[in-house]
Amino acid sequence: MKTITLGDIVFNPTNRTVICVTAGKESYQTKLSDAEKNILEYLLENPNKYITKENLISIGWEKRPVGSNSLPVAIANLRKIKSNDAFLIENLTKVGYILKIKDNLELYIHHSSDIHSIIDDTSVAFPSDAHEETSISTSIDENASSNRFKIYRLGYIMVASSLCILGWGALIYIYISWIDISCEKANINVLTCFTDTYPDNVEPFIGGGVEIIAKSGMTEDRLIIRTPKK
Amino acid sequence: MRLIKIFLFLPITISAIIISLSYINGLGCDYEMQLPTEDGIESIAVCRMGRINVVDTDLTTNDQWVVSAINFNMGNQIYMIVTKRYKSNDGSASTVSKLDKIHQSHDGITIYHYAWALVDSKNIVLFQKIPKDEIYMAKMNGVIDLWMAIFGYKHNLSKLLD
Repeated sequence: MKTITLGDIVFNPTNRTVICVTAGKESYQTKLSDAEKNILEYLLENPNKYITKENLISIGWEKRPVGSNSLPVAIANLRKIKSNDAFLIENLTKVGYILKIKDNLELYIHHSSDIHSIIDDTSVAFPSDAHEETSISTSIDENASSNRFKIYRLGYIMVASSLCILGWGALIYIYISWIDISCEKANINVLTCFTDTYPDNVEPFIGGGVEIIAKSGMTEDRLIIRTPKK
Repeated sequence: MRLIKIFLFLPITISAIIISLSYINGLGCDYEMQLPTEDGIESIAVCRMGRINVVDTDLTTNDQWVVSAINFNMGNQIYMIVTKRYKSNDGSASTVSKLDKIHQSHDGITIYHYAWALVDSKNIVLFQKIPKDEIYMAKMNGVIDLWMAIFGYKHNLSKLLD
């Protein structure tokens, strides 16, 4: 999992949230749409570079069809994020957009392994200023959500394997237990129906009507129909 | 990953489709069946709209048992899922009926599995596999499943006439 920290803001692409902590230690959280998250993540990873509109559209919406107004709306929403002017998105007509970072700020990109080390070293590594506190609390949140994810994944695996066993079991049961019946003319006026072994003593029936002989395994049964349907 | 998902979920999907189709097919049953009297026990099965009731009567003691089940039909296979089994008539108090022993020993068995072959429009041969190997040559009036109601089945007796 990735967290991008810039000045007083912490951007979490996984949760699609931007948390901004003000000087008064009040925090504001902004929830982004999927496209806004993709665009902000790309702009933050490529600061001070002009990115074309086409490029941003393909990053934001990943080849899905979008209206001509979608990108300007997404940029307008990103500009509304409370960020204590940590970054600024500018537009250059017919070229694209550029994200400019406030001069004295540095951008940090943490990955999940960094986050765990941050949690382990909280007591010694950071002085207690607003920016780092936010980063730590976000890291703890991420750790909890990572555990939740693991539990969900375990549940998913258990449900999937149960369904798999059930499905294969049902199919194998139907295949194995299928009773295959063969009915054929065995002799004069004698019809045999059997599952696996052919009946013994199949003599012609001349008593008027027909004789039905059925056999399944060791079980055998005979029936005489006196008035056969022609 | 896609192959694993197919391996995991395709069988349960196919099974669900098969079970649903066999239930729908079984809903079309509309028959009365009289099984041959054996050891003084007469059996009559009636199936309507996917529900089957089998009434077993001991002709000597007059005891009667009823087995209710849901009917699933797949090709010529019948799966009966027993929902209720009860004694509907207690005949002679002094004699223990053979039926009591049979049904008490079958208590807890919820699946009955048969395969059938039509001899002619009135006669049918039933091959029972579960709970035990048995053959019944029964008289039947009606249609076994929805498929038979719509398309009919070729009688095996016609093979004798070919």
